[in-house]
Amino acid sequence: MNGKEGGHIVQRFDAQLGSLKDLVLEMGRLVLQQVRDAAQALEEGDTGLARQVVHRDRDINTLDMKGQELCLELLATRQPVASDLRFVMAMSQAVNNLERAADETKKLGYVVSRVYGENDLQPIPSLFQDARHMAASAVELLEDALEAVEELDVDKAVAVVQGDEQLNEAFHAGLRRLATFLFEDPRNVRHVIEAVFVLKALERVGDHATNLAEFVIYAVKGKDVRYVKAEHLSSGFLDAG
Amino acid sequence: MSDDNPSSAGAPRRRTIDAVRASLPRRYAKERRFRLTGRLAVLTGLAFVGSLFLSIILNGYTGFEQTYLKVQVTFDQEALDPEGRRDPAALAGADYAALVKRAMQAAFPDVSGRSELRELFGMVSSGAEYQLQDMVKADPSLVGTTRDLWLIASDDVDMVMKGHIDRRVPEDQRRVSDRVLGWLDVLEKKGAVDTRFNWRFFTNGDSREPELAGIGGAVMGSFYTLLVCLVISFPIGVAAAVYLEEFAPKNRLTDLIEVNINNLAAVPSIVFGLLGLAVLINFFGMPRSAPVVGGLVLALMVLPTIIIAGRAALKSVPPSIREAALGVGASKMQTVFHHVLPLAMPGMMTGMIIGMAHALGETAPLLMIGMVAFVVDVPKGFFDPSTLLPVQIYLWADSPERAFVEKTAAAIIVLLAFLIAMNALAVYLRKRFERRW
Amino acid sequence: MNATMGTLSDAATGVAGRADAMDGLRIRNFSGTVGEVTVANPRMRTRGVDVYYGDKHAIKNVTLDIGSNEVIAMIGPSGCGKSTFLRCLNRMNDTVEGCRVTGHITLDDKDVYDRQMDPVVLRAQVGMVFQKPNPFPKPIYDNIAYGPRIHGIAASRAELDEIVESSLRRAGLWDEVKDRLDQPGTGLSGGQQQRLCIARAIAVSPEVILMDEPCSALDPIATAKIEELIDELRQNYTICIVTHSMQQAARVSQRTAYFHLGDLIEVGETTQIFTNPRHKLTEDYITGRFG
Repeated sequence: MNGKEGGHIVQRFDAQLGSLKDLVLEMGRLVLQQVRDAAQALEEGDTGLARQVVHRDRDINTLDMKGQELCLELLATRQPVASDLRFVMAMSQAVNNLERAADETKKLGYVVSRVYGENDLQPIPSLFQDARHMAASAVELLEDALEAVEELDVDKAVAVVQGDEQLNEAFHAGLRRLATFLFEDPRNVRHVIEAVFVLKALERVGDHATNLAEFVIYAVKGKDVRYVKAEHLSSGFLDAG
Repeated sequence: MSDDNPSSAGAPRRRTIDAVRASLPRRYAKERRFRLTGRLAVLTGLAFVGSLFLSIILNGYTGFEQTYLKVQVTFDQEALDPEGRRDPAALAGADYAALVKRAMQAAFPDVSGRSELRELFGMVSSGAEYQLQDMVKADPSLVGTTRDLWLIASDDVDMVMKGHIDRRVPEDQRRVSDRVLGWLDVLEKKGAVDTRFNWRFFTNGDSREPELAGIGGAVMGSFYTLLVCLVISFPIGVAAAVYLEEFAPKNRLTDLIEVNINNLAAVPSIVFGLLGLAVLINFFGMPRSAPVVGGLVLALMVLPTIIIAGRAALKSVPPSIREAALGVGASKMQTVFHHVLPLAMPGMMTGMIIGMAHALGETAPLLMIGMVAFVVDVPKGFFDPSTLLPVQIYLWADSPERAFVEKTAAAIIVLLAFLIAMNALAVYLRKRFERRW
Repeated sequence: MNATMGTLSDAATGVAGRADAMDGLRIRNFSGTVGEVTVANPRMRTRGVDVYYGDKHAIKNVTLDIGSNEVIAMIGPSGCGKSTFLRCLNRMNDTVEGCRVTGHITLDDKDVYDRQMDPVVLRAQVGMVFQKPNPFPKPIYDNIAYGPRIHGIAASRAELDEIVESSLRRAGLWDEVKDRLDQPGTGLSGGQQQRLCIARAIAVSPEVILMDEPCSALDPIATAKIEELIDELRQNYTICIVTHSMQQAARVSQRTAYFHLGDLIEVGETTQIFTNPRHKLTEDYITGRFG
């Protein structure tokens, strides 16, 4: 919670918390790039870009390790309590979630390689139509979530949690549409299955972005809202004792 | 940055370490000078104390010895007990001085003439006759026999033997005549002169004759006086210290009392003597020169010391001990008497002993209550007239006889021994019972 | 003051109830304690306690319940009044010159500052352990036996022996000192001394034990032993502990009270205080944002 007026007496503590946040944001930006690139590869059938995405996952794994190490070090040496403790826990979870979001983008990369790398059968043009939309929303969610992390802004975090509902609806709509492709031509089945993977992966990215936002709420307000329905997340609910 | 001046190019500013190094010799020199002056001060003090002790001991050690003359004494039946009944009363009343004179005459048969004889008889102390009397009293069968006896020499003979009277001085400026010196030489040649340890010095009371004077009376007087002083001042002092330190409320009155106690400790001791004279002797009609009065006066004098030392000792008991006792539910009284007082006791004892040593060495207040009297008898109780050691020293120092010089010094040695012993005891108690926490 | 005795039970309804019942009795300085100051089964209760050292207002209008068999930790910066408050509970402040206590403190519904209440009796019920281990410079046995002796608890020597043994056992010290009961308590190590002091406190079977920074002079191992002991003692005693170590408060207590400049700022379950304090001052203090 650096940046807040009245930092710790031990300034090094503030610095450590700050670097933890910077690491999370850096990781977030990388993951964001992964989602964008994966979406682009999917859009353009660019297997080269897809391979890049898969390859870059390693960098994110490294950051994940570094992030967990930093959290552990903070817990061991500073014994944070109250908001500091919640912040460290939240950042630890954020790192974890970002890493898993990155894994989802890796899956997208594999799908692109599988679908476009084999020349025997081109997918039908509208196969990834929903994925495009979902990818755009997922990117938006993740951007908002990272902004919420950066500013520790509860309102933005609540908006992210609520925005995830739309992504989920898009996911279900996409699944229904894919089902119609199967009815049209059973030969599509292999590509449709891949498309389901894509949708699922994008839906998961949205979930991880939501988790990020939820941990921001936990860090700031001290409330665990993971199992609270999104429409109940009002400022009145968060401030009640 | 030209090459012809490389030193200014590198480090124009002097480094701290160089400055430190440069100032070091001066600093150490200062420290050495300070240490030296300290040592000099201590040495000067030691030199003064040493010369004081040396002069006292050199003057005084001979005071513990006494010269004796061997004379053949005939316990004449006719003179002592003409009726032969061995009646103790008659034996006690007999003329022993005549025996001594006869014995001296027998030793030097050719001496005649009144003044010569007086000089001859004067070689032996007037105490010699009491010596003989005591012997006969102890053993009446001595009557009728003749014995070689060691009689106490007079102080003049004693002084000659100890070398305090210089034979080279012309006779008319000397206390001892050439004749006496001659007889002494004769006796010495016969082996009839001896110097022995002077037990009488410790048992006798005061006397006009230096060779008979002792500190026994003064020691007993001091003992009784200090006993009274201790019995009165210690309980009162401890009680006052405990009350003032632990129980008394902190207000104007107690502040006033505290200030007064501190001031009392600085009051000249003779004032306490005046108080004793005015109140104890004139108002209450207590006997003069009595240890009980001296003890009371000295008790008044040392009370402030004991109270101050006691309060300091109580203050030094850590508050954590009080808290511990209060914390388990001890009352204030229990806290003080079970825990605080026992811990403060060594300090209080030290203060008490220092106070007693102070009292032992005190003279001035005693002068006011008549303890400066010439008292021959060794006091046997608290109401007998008596002198005290320092008063005895004062009296002897005033006496004209040369022999009293060494008596004075000897008495001072005894007094110092007592004082050192008491202080040593105080130190021992402090070390032994000192608690650490 | 006795007129307000009846309101004590009413006050158990909470902060609001207390304010209603006792309003108008004196000027309030601060009554905005955050959190639940009352408990269901209180052993001691304080209501509107103010403490003055001469002109200094050391404790301001503190209301707090201390529940049975709980460990309540009092934390706060130096000079916040936590030790002063602790010492009110067994009237150790009585010995401080110029100290004045107003308000109500009850132990089992009996007024601690009542004229009828003898501080000696009170301290037999509310024992105390101090910051610096302060065993008497006496044998270990006598250290423990002193309280029972002066209170006349033991009828015989055998009974006294039993009290000494059980107290030392409960303090986890018996096995370490059973062979040297006749040696002075001051010869033990710091941690042992402090456990000896705890044994001394429990030898008179108090209901409440007050601990004033009991581990501040001890090393971590000795501290851990004391903390383990506190946890065990909770079965039988109510314990109030003042500590400068927030980690210690977090480790040993069930409830934590945060004092600041004489005010009781916040009370709450220890886990709540240390994960999600509700008052900004509490938050700033425990996270190390001011001293």
